[in-house]
Amino acid sequence: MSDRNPGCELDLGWLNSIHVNVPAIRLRADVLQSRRSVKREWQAAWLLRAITCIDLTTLGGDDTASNVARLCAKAAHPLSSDVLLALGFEEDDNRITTAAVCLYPSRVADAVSCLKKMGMADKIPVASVATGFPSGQYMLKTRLEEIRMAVTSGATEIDVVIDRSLVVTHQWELLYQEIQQMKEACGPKTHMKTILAVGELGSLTNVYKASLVAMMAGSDFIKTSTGKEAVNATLPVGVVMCRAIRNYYQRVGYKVNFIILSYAVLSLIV
Amino acid sequence: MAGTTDRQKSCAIIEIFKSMEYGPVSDSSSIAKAWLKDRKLGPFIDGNFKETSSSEYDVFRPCTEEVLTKVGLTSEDDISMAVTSSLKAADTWTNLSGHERACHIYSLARHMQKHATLLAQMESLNRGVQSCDPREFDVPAVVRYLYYYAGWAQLSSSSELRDWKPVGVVAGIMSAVSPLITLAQIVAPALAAGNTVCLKPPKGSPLPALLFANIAMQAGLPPGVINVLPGGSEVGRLLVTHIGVSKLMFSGSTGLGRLIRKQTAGLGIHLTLLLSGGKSSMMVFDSADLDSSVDGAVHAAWFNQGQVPWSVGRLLVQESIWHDFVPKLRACVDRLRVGEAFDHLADVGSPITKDIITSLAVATSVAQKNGLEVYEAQIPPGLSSETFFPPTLVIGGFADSNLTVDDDILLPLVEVVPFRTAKEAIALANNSRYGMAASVWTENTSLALEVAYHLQVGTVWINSHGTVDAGVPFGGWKQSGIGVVGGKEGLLEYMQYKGVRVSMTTDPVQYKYFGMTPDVSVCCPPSLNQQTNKGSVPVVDRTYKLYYGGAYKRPDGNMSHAVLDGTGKIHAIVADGSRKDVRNAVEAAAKAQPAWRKIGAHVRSQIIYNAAEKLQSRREDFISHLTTLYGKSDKEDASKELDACMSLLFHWAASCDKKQFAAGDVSPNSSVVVNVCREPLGIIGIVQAPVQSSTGPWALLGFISLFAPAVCYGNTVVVIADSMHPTPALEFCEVLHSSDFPAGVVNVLTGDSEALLSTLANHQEVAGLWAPQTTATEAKYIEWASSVNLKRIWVDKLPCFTSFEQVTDFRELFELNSTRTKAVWMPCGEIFAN
Repeated sequence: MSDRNPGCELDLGWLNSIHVNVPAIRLRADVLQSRRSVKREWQAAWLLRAITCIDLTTLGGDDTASNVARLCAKAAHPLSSDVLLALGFEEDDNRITTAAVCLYPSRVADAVSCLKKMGMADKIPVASVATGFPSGQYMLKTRLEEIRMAVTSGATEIDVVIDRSLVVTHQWELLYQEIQQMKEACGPKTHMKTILAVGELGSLTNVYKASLVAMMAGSDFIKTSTGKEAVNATLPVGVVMCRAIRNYYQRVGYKVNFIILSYAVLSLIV
Repeated sequence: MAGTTDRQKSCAIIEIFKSMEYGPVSDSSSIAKAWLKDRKLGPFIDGNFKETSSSEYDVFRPCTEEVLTKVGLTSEDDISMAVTSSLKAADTWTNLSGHERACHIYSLARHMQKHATLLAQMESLNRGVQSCDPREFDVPAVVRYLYYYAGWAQLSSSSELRDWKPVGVVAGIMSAVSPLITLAQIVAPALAAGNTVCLKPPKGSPLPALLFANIAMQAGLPPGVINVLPGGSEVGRLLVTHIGVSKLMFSGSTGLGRLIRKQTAGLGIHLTLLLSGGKSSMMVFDSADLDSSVDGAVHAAWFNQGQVPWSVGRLLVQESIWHDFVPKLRACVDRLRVGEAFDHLADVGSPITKDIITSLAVATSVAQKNGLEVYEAQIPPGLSSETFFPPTLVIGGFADSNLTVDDDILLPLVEVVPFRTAKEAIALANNSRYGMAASVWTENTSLALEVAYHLQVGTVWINSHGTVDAGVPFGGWKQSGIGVVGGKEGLLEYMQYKGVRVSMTTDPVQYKYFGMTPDVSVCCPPSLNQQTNKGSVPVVDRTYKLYYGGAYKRPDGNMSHAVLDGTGKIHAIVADGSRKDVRNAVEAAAKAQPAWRKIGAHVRSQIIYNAAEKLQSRREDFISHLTTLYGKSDKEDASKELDACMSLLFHWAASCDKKQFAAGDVSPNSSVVVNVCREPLGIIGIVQAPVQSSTGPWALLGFISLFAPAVCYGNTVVVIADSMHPTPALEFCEVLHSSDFPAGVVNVLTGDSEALLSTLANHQEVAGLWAPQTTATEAKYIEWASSVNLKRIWVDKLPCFTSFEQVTDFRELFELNSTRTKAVWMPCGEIFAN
């Protein structure tokens, strides 16, 4: 499997065959919670794994170099050494870091220099939000420019938000083209994560279809939400997006990564 | 030492961190085992476990050698003691106020809630089902049933139950496939209605019921209100045939249900049967949410080890999505985990009885022989294939043209079959002797509701499968049962309508020879002569033919007999119908029924009004006909009868398009719409009887009393005319003929009534048989013969046949006997956020 999602042609027939039944999804979400469980060593190992999947994020209007530095320190050492030792890892085990740090574009340079000083620059990716985060209600030209500038500043992952109006009005071609252009703007080395902002998509059918379009257009990750919408990641949404990813994998052969923005979902595996 | 263990654990954590595997998680069974420890168990009679029992037997964990405890076997004396205790308890229990009974049942619900974990563990331990099944489904449902029926106990003095009274002692028989929920389905409505209960749990798994009884005592239920009698089929037989029992509820296989129907013939017992023959169909259309339907199918197929009557056995998939659906299904079955009952991560455990595994192997080998793909999930290493079965799919067709699933054994097997159109899907699903439930998966509401209309089952789930609620009637059509559990109808199963008397007899009936001896006395009627001045001259023969398929037909045997009038003179010659004529009439009725149902209540109502109009225009004819027939001198009596007939026809025409008593919306919450419809049985056989007025029999009124309600609700009828007074019905057929009644809706036969009756009672296509006022011997025969296809029979003595003022009083009772329940569940909701 290649490192990057190659994407595929927009397949409207596929989109049109999608049906989502919300009550059935809800029931599925309930069953999932009661049928699987991890305890003891398994619980510890799974929680550790969860830590390594976290995009440690600060997206405040008041972010400065100092709190970004603290964020980077936490990302590099999310657990205290005694806990890490007790769990059987080395004190400075490189395996236990968060998946990335995530910030606004203008703070990317701070994070990059900070991680460099800690010698973690090639271990922890710096992710920048872009494309008119969080609403996406800006001109395409500036949205794309944001991506390029963030990449220039040293970001190795870009979290783009989609233009939700295109989903609500079912302009799938336009959505596909925009995401493709965003992917292009990211360049060959930068991972692109596409934030769907599910709380603003109107229906789970739209969530499923937007997930598929984002993957067809080449997103390496799809992500539930920005954290700024009224409703973010819920388990039913998670079920729908996982099914879209599985469906895409079965047809295209690439397993897109999935990011859930929620503490509640994390707590499920505890 | 501790240090080593910690280090081992740490190593393990690093390994799991890499592999991300699941670890073992066990649910506990300790509380259930603690409850069993040192406890003496046996028949639970009059509030106590019987201390000494002549014989004890071991109760095992299913499919293992592990003895859980010993239980005292119920003896014949115990059964008598139990029934006596129930009868005694019924005296006080029935006379408690509705509120007092409600308080008792409410307390029972509270106590079950308090002991939820214990109950769930006991069920899992003794029936071997996955621990999550009783915990998440059965126990909450038991509690809900008790609360729901505590409510009905409270309302038992309200006006809607004014005409109903308790029946007495209820025998509840559970079989190995009855899940825990059955306990509440029997006990809650029976107690709410004011009855007491003798329960016979299955021999191998009596512990949940014994525990239930024990908790009931703690909840303060008076002794004798619930007695529990552990034992095998002999205990069951002695209990159901006990003279003190007035009502029977049985949950188990169709074969046993049939046997019980025969055993209880003539005992005056009403039956509620919840039968597990066959399994349910699930149909997935191309407009369905495929991923959800795959998950839904797999969950519904192996819930409770795939051994509840509503488990999915046939998965019908539209051909246009076949190639998308089947790989998803295979992948989902692969992910199923097989494991022990208390393995928290296991989805499927060992079967309830071991013989299932052999039967499953036979079925799959037949399927393979027939060229079908058999797809099995893996049994994890370490589990024996002698006690665990792999979840199995048979893909591409029916394993053995109906045999695999359309059988009495509940095999945990799913047949995946393609269909092309909705019409074909309906035909495939209905092609079964059974009719418990089915589900329809589509986002197209219009399609879903149309399919639901056509399915011959008691429950239709749309985009879901297996949800139940105490407020929603649940029961099987065809050979899946008689009557329902749940809802107000579930309560009425345990009540008797005022003035209605059951028919019973201890006289032996030669079932095999019933109706086989032709009644020769009525053959070869002499010709009717009249005296003229030239001597005796034969009058022009007035020979009535049979009426079926919309025309008067000559009898197959070309025989006839004479009908005498009230003065003993020959009144008319009527045809002698035979078995062949019954079969022809049933065929005509079968052909007419779907369209008669489909034209709708308004048109049916108009047609009945039309018949009344036509009767009015022939009023004088009928009056003189009836007057002669009864041998009366004046026409006053017949005139009164005609008035009553007109009023009764208007009554049923009026009732036709009104809201039915037992139908309507019973949604338990806002996320699902549950609509209960009352649908016609299909073909109802009727043994006509005259209404006895103060001045003698009224034959025409008797005919209208039965045929009109039956057709009003959308049934077609085959009527065996009263042998003494067959002519009014035959005359009335002319009225029907000239009004807009479609051919085949009403069919009337005359002849040797026992011969006709035995053919009708044994006919597979006849769904109901009404013979109020029939003799006790005939009633006993009807009960016995109805077991052939588990007809809905109605052989009670009805007060409206002895007092013509009451003919319009029994609308609710006629509705219940003319129709059966179909509950359509439609989960709804599209808004997922905010």
